[in-house]
Amino acid sequence: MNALRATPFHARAAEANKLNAWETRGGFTLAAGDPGEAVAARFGAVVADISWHWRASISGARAGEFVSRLVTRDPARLQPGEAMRTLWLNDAGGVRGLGTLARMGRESFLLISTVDDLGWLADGAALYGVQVRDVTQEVGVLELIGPSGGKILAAAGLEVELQPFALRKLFWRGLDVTLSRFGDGIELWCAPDDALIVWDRIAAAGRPFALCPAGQRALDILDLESGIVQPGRDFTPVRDGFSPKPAPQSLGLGSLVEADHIFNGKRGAAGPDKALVGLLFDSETPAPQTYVMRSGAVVGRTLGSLLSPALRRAIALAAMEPGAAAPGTVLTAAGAPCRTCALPFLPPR
Amino acid sequence: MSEALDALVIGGGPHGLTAAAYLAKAGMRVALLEAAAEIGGTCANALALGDLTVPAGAQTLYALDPRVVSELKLVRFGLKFAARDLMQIGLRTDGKPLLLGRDARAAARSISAYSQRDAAHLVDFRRELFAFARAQRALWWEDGPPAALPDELRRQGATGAAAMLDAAFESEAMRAVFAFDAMAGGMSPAAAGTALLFAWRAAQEMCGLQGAVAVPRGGMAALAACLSAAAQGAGVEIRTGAPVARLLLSGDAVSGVVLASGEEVAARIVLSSLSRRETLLNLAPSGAAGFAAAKRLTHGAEVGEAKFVMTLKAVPGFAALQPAARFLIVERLENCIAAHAEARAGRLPAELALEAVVPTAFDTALAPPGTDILSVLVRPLPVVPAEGWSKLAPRLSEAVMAILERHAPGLRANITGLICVTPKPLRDPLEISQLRASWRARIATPIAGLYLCGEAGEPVPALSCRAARIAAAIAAAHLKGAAR
Repeated sequence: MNALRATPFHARAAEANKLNAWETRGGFTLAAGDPGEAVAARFGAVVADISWHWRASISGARAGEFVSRLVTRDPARLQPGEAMRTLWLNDAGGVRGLGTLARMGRESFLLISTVDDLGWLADGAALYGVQVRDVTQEVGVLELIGPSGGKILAAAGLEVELQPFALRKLFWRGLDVTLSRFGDGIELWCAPDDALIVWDRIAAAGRPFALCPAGQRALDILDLESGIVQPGRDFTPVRDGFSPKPAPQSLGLGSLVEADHIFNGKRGAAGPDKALVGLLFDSETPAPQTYVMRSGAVVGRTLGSLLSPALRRAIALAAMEPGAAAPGTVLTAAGAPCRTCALPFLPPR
Repeated sequence: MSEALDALVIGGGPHGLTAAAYLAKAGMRVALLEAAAEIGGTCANALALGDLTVPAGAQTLYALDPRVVSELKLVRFGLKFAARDLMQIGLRTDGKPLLLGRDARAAARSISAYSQRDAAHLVDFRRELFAFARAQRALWWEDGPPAALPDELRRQGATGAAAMLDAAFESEAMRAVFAFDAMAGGMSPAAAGTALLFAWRAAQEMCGLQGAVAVPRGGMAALAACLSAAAQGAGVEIRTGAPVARLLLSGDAVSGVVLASGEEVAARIVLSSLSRRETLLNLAPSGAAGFAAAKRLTHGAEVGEAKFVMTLKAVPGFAALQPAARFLIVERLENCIAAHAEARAGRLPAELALEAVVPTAFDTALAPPGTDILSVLVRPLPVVPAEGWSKLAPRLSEAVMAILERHAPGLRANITGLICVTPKPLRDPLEISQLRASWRARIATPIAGLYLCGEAGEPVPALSCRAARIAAAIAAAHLKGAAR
């Protein structure tokens, strides 16, 4: 077996992991936590370690040209410090990845995803003479989720007004940090060596707000409740260069494909557009990656599915045929009755 | 810059000329761009050999599409054949030569010295091969639906040539005589699916004869000249000395080319007779071919063939067996498998397979009286040898001479001139799966309006012009569809 691959916050996460439940994400050992922590994020705030998210830096004189060809949305309009959610496809239009592309400078970008795809980026970048580097281990990232998240940061001395999909570099009492809003909450990035100081400062500032550490299971629930699709968990990205499945449209991600932008795999990226909707089950049994039926006919497919402790029932993200996507449509998935609802399941915090 | 052309064809070899001629016949405004000063590509008499000039490419024709000959009226433009059906002759060190002509009885007589069983089996072998090959013409001749006999096609598509020959013939001599053809496109005879190379070859037709090998009068350059005349007659504007630097794209569709001189030539579609690799990696903008395709294209063929052309004071002894013949010199089929592995590793193989032709024996106009030409193809050879071709070429030359001397004693003393054409680098590797793919899959590219009309479009790299004919049809349909 390999030695433990830990994130920069591991020492603190180990102290906080009272259940001693662990799981592996992206090769890192992380606290699994308890689904109940997702409820805490609805009322107060939780802090979670997302350092394991894969990050690749893309830099070089032709980085903009390469990134533009790589992703399904036009990155030219991104200013430094801005980001967007985007897909990247193989030659035949199959989805290879889904993540956040951030522009760090005029000629440098950062691609963040829950599933790594460095080989694909390196192959493409070689055509443009652009450097691609896996920088996952060069940064520690904490995510603060919950209504009190902003207040905790303010109490810690990080009072910043931040738009969604924006990031800002700050100097925070002797430390270089970055704040961003790419997901459910606010992400705080720091150098790995500063990680424990950052954790301690946030924990101290969060004590009056009952800040509690959350594990990866709670993060999954919060993602799903917000209607955020993650590769690996909600669908399996293609790893072959020439296989057309899954197409973006079949995952209900057609909105991430810009018709007038030219990108790799564009000619294959077509097909009947499915709608991404939420499914609310009557029961508590999740039904991931299964067909959704209406009167005996398949009308869609679920992506990720989990038990939502806040809603006290199972929820699922589903790619549905437009005719069966209207909120309130009664369906069955894996034999269980369910109905569609608009995303997100719960209002954003 | 004048008004945009309908179509541009890159490369003035037989493939490019054919494609341009067909497009012009379909009423398009077509220009053809050739990098060299002369038209003809590898068929042009570009290499000096004493007072003669010889082409660098193919030495025989076995796959030229008969419809190209008739539809472009090449006979009217002067195409004649010096030899219509070269006899296949296997030269042996362990016995008499194998004379495998079209006459099955004569062939059986010469085989019976090695094996009675093989002599009796040759008729069946040819009949089955030719029947299967004819059944695949829909696949290999037309941009049509999949071929007949799909199960047999699938079976052969997974069978190595060596296994197929082992099953068909018991004598070493008979297996060896087919080994040269089994290594077409730099394949190993042991590679899965190489059995299909025989069927593909047998599906070809020259001068109305199935599976024949022919040589045009005046050599390959004469064929290029006929095609050039046909293209110009159809209204193609031919520009020589015009190398293309890169393709111009608007959006994700091709819109023309930029010449090395910096001049831009606009066209609605572009047909390239260059290799897939050259076209999509070097001429197209980075990334336009697709990231995965570009990665695949970086691997060129590792094993190729060399060509030797020599002028002689007297005809080699073996030419007396039959002047119009291709002489195949291979000792053992199994050795070719090992030789292929050595070539892949970048070394000169211990054993080589040779195909020798004496074109002056049946076309006296090629050289002045008293001079004969011997043309030899040598397989398998490393495309990029470890020591470099400058060092390997003399050693290869020595090895080839030693082999030839064994079958034509005294040959070395007769040589007055010699030229060696080393394997072409950066050639597209042959993929056996392409033998079962559709023409459109090979001809169309990820870039809209860009088509491959050269060897890259053929199932097996050969001087066939069939890809050019079909590419022109696909491109013309594209233009008509866009105009509507």
